[in-house]
Amino acid sequence: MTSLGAVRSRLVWQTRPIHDAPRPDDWAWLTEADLARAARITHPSAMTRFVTARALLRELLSVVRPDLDPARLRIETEPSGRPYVAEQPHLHVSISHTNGLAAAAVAGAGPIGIDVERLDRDDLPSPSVWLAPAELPQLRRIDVELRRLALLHRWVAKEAAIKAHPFPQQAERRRIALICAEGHTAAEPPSVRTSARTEVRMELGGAGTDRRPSPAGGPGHPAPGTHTPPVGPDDRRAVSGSERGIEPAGGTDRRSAPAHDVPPSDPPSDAFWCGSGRARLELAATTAVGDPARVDAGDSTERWLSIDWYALADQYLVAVARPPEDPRSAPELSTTDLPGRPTADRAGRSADNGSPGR
Amino acid sequence: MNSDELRDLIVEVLSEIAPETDPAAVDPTEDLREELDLDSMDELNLITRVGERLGVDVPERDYPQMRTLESAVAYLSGRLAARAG
Repeated sequence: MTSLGAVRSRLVWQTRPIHDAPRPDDWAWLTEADLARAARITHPSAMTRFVTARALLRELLSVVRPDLDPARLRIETEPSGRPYVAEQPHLHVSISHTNGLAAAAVAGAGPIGIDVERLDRDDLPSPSVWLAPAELPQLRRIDVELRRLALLHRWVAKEAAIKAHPFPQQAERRRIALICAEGHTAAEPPSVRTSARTEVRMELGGAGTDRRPSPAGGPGHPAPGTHTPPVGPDDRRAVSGSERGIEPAGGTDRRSAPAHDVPPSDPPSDAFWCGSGRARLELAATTAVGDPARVDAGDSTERWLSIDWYALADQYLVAVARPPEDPRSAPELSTTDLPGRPTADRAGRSADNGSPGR
Repeated sequence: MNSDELRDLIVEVLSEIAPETDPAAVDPTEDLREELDLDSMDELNLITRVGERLGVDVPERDYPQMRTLESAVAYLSGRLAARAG
């Protein structure tokens, strides 16, 4: 039986393609309240996006907290749009979506933020609208032909970071600077972990011995009281990772990097690219338009986190922001064995269950 | 600029961001993000482009007032009136 201590250390995030309509399995995860909300969304693709993301989130909640019935959890939304689990304030959740892909993240302890964007996105807002003054000079040093990609990396990282560590309501994107930590900057696009699939699950477990409880009836059978949607013949929830597996990109092996307890000082001023790893989220004292901002006494104006980027099927860019005090210095990417799913041992066999995306 | 003109401007920008938008079908009381399936970048683009065309800088703390067509028209009317006064 998995101990709650080990469960609380678990962090899971997953992406899922958004199809033209919700899948039957997705509907099965939704509560009455979710269904009522879905019914109020008039735009078909917005409704599909909501259903897909909400189903994904409930599924991940069942992974992180198998002791809870996800059907009994109320997922509420703050005015900012940030989701939270009403009955479980210690659970941290984050969602994101872009055209064709939804993403969700659940952390048993510690904040989590996730953001996804299409790699071909070319309508990024003007940098002066969402970059802090401290970030703008860095951007100018990026070669013009790489600038769109640089901005896209910064966008998803910053969105994920702000979701993980929202500052007070009056804090705007252009007042929040993402400062790369020394040793985690790069002159070129940062190393990203890549996958040939768009539906991927990443799970950071506990100490390596963390396993979900053995369900009644043996493997493949749901535990009593667990809300488990029917497994269809084309159960795309069965995620394995690609036939190539989830491969770390070439570059520095961060697993050999020491975990920092003390934030490094004075990161290079020309660092716009952040290599995957530590970054500092800093609340600027003034806005880009020179309006002095009120920073309340006691507000934390600097927060540290770790950011990792992932590229999926050459179509999507994902950023995940999580606490840097996480004892794991690098995400140990592993495929999760779920009933009916190929295991990591079978990586290399040609996959027949997933042309990515739609 | 009156309310109708403001509404038309916002819908025009919406059509640029979400080309499938049916101007006549936009419910003025519904959250535009859900009604038109806008993501966070779309929302930022909408607000900044509308602001640019009106010469109004919309701070991010006021974004919640731009979430529906009705509230956006009311908010921008107020900003324009304040600027003129």
